Amino acid sequence: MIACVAVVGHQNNPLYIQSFTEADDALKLHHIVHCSLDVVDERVNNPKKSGPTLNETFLGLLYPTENYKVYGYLTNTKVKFILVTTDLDVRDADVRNVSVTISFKC
Amino acid sequence: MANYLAQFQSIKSTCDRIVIAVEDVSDLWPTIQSGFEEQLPFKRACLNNKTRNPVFVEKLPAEFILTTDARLRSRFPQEQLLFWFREPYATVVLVTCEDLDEFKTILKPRLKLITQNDEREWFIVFVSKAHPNNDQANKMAKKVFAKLEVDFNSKKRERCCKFDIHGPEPNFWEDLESKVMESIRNTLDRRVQFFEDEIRKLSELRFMPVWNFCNFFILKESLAFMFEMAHLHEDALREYDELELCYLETVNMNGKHKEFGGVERGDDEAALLNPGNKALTEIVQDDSFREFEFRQYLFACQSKLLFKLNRPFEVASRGYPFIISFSKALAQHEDILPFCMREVWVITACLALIDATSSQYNDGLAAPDIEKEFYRLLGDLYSLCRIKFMRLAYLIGHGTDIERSPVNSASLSMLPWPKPPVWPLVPADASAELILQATPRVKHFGIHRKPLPLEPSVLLREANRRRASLSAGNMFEIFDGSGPDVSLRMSPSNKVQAVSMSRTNSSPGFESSIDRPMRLAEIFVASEHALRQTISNPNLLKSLSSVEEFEQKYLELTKGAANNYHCSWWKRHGVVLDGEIAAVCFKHGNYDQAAKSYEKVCALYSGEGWQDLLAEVLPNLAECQKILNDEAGYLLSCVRLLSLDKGLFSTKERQAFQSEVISLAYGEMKDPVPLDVSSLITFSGNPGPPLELCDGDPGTLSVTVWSGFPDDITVDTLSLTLMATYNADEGAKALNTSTATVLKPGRNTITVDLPPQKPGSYVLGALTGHIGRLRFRSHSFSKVGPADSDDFMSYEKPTRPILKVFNPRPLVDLAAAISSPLLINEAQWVGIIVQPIDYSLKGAILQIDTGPGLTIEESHFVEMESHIKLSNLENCHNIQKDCSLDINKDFERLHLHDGRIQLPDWASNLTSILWIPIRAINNSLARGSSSVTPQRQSIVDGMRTIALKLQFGVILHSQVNASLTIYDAWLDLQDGFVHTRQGDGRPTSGFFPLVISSSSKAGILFSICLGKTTPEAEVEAVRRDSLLNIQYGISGKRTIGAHPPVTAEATGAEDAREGLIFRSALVLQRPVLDPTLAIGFLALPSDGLRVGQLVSMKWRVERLKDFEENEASQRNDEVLYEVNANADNWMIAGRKRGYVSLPTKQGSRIVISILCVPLLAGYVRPPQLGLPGVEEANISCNPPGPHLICVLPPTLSSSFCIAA
Repeated sequence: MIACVAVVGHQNNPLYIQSFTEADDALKLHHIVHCSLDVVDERVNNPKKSGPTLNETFLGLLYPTENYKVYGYLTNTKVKFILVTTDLDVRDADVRNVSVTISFKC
Repeated sequence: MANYLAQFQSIKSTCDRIVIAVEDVSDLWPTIQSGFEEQLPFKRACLNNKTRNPVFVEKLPAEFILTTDARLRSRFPQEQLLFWFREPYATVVLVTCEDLDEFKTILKPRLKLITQNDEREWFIVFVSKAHPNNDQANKMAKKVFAKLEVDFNSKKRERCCKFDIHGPEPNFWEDLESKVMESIRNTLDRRVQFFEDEIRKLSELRFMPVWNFCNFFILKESLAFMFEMAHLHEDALREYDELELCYLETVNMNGKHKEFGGVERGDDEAALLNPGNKALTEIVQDDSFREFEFRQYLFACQSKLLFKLNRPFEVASRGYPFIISFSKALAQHEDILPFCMREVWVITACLALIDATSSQYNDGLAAPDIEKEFYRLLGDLYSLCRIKFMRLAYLIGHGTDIERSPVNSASLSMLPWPKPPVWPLVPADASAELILQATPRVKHFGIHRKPLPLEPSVLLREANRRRASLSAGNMFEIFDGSGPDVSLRMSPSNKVQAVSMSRTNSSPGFESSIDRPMRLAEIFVASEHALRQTISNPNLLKSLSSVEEFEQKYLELTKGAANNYHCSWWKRHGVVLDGEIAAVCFKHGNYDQAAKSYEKVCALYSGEGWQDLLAEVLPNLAECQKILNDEAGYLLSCVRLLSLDKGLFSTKERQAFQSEVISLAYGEMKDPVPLDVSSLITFSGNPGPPLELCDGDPGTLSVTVWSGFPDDITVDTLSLTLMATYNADEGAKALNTSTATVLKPGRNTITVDLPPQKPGSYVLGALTGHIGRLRFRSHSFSKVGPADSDDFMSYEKPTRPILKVFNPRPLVDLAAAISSPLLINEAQWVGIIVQPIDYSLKGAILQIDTGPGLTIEESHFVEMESHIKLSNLENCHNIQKDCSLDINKDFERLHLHDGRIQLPDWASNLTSILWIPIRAINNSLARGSSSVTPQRQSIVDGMRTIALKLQFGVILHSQVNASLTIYDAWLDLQDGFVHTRQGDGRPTSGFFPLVISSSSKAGILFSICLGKTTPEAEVEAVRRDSLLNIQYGISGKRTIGAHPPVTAEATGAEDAREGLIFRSALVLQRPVLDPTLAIGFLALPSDGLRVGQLVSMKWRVERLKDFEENEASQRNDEVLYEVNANADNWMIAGRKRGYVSLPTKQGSRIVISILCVPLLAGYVRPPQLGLPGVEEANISCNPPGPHLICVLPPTLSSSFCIAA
């Protein structure tokens, strides 16, 4: 299940955050999205580590924890789409499709 | 083979280095042993790795063992093969011999016997006992050694070396080491090949029923162990990696139910770095190993090798995913594991990994990016450990001590509860323990927030659900009945656990019973009891034993995570955890430290615009600052809180922020505090073009100020600084408002007086002001108009100039409204168009100086009206000739004081026209002129004489732009002239009124005749000029340049309008035509004139009257003549000038003849005869001479013509 979708500006400022949890706990998802920017920064600033995925806008799994996964998508204008999912057995290709769809709709 | 597992383990534990066998043929070893062993470990080892590439090993440990040693004896062949790795890798044969015969007969056969075994790598060390001074013995030794070399060396390989016991040769040890190394290398290669072959064979059987993982493991680990002994750690690690892969495949592939392990006492403590934690024989299960222990064992072996390779970073990088994946495996088997085994294992695993890797890691050895990654991993490990630790603490009732922050909520609320098959029960001997009572801490400013959840679901429900399999009770009974639980009862779907968690056993009915649902307090107590059973690590037990211990451990883990994240790329993670540390510091009264940490968190969130998160932390920072009496910081925090999105706080809360600011500003502060309110009070110039002023002009500047305060706020003073954009030297200039200003929430317009500024362009610099003792300052500019984008960067647009001060330039254009002549001596409107040139004329004074000949009618008012544009005027003019300019918006009458007029305000920015009454003063009379100068006001056209009657025509040429109406005209004649018929000098009265349109001509004819002249004595009294009088009126308007005089217009009297008199003086001359002589031109010859041909010109002069006596003259009977001819056309023969005789009587005649030669052909003017002595008026030309005559070309001369 996708718990949160966020669009983050090129200065790492939140442009849009939508959480899909029933409880009034959107703030924790803000935190997750904000902290995942560390990983985006790390990948962007360390092209060596990114390896072959450097040229790809889809950053893949940013932030695997035991309980949720964070995926990232970076546009040419350095706008990031962040996806938090609680589904631990999600396929990369599916998330890539979702990310690309979001980026086109935005 | 699996039966050999125990033996394999024991061999492995006893054997840790390469063995070199010593075949001591001649009992020499005790003598030379120490010298040999001093060479260990080998320093220049070069071995081949698995891919047969040479690898240099710096220090290769080895051991010399005599072949007679018990360790190398009595092994079964099969046993030898299986554990081949422990067999000697080289055999050194020690021999000595001092006699050639002995060598041949005894030693050589024996050596042959020893070296015939091809399996062994051997070489011979010939020990020479000969003393260096004993030449004989030395020679013999050399001979024997030479013989030895001949017999045992081959072409490919030297197998002999000589050791002098009394002093080895300098290169002996190197030689020995190279030979040992060659042997070891060869042996190693052979054995690796053997094990690889065996492993391959076994791998091929992997999917067969006979497959046995233990056998595969023994072979694989033997190979790995052999590599490890040879210090080829990289190869050993690869073997373990392959072993792990193979194990994971087999463990998942086989559908058979297998025991997982992990249920023994002490298993809760991770052994992922301790390969010897349990003997492999203990964990063997059928043909494989228990997953719980074996995976940890493999990881421990890998870690050991990685540490030997000095790669602690890799241990951490492999360790974190291992812990995550192992934790998942534990979750799958949670039903068989002790309560919270998974959490406990993860905690101990993380701590073990952190301890081991950080102690092995030396700063600065790795590349910077690897180092940063290492610290990130440590941060992750600390963080994971922290989460699990918090989970355990929550389960035993320390949830109230955990900050409900976003980071903790994100970690814990998405982490599922432990899933034991049955939730533990409260033990029978449980007694009332400590009471933990917590109520949600009310935030500063009275901010009320719904606390963030730390629970994935309601623990009460989860725990009882797991007991429900034993007894299905009424779910509603499970709640304690306290406030929060009631709310849960009302909305069971609410996932948020109530904050209030009382942990007390004092409530009635605490007796443990499996039939009754557990209360929350019971769950805590039961969990703690169960955890004590699970946890074997005393430190962890201690950390969970009390709130204080929990907090200490919690702080340690949080700090560990934060510090490591700070050293990594993940700064945000670090800073956020600093906030958690701050919360603990705050709780314990360490406000200073708390404030510092909170500041970092706030800076992070505000820097990137995460306002929701900032709104969570900023009140905490403010509270710290208030407690610390940090007035400036506290005020700034209040301002920042007010600057946040309005939706983040209620109006009441925002009002509380403002009231804090006000109360501090007006009361509590000791010293004035500067405060940056850039985020709260913003300002900008008004939309539109900037205010434009000229050098030296004062002005008024209007500025929009946005207030973010929820209520009105009174600002004692307010000042704005102006910055010159292109002049850095100029500095900022402050503009102050004079009085206190009340800023409403939202938009305010502030007006400030602007003193004269230097030329240049100015932008707003900063807004400063006072509220009580608070000095505030704002640097930011608000966006004016609709926001063009939500882009963060748009706030950084370059500022727009608000004021432009220009160099001196024309500010106003003054022009004549219309150019037209004035009526002399009449007050007339003169229009001046006053046109401001992009400049306000407010307060301007117009000074008028008429110059000579003109005066302003000061008694009369001046009129001012707005003026339409010239183009419009022209259009209008084209359509209707007399269209006036007065399509006016405004009209005003002004009074002139000392030639000055103050312009009215309405005319400040408009083009206006100013009508001034002007009188042109001229006391002289107008004079008429001849027809050649028709521009004059009146013309005497001419005169002619018909008998004695004179007709005198006057042409009136109107030069005014309006039509004139002539009402009357009369001529006052000078002396010597009289009107005919004794009239009054007026033309026929029926002509009048005569209307003359503008710029047209009209004629008036007067009939006059000569009269008697006045005697000389009365000459002075009579007039010498005639006077033309015209009574007229004007019907025009001032806008077209002609209009009645101001006074007449003002009074509107018809008489006055018609009463205008125009006077013009004329001088009339008496007629003087009185011929006395007549000149007649006589006819020319009829055959015409030719060039070069003489012709006689003749004139007849006749006296018409008798010569009058009174005209005294000496030559009365002679007439002076003169012939005038153009010298180019005529050549004159004879006298051109002279006297001819002419009698004085009437009728006397004379002919004057002159010979002339024409010089040019064509029509030429003939010579003229003049009489210079006679006035022209007295000469009559009768008949007159021709104007032009025809002169033919000369006749052609034929004398030069030649007949054809």
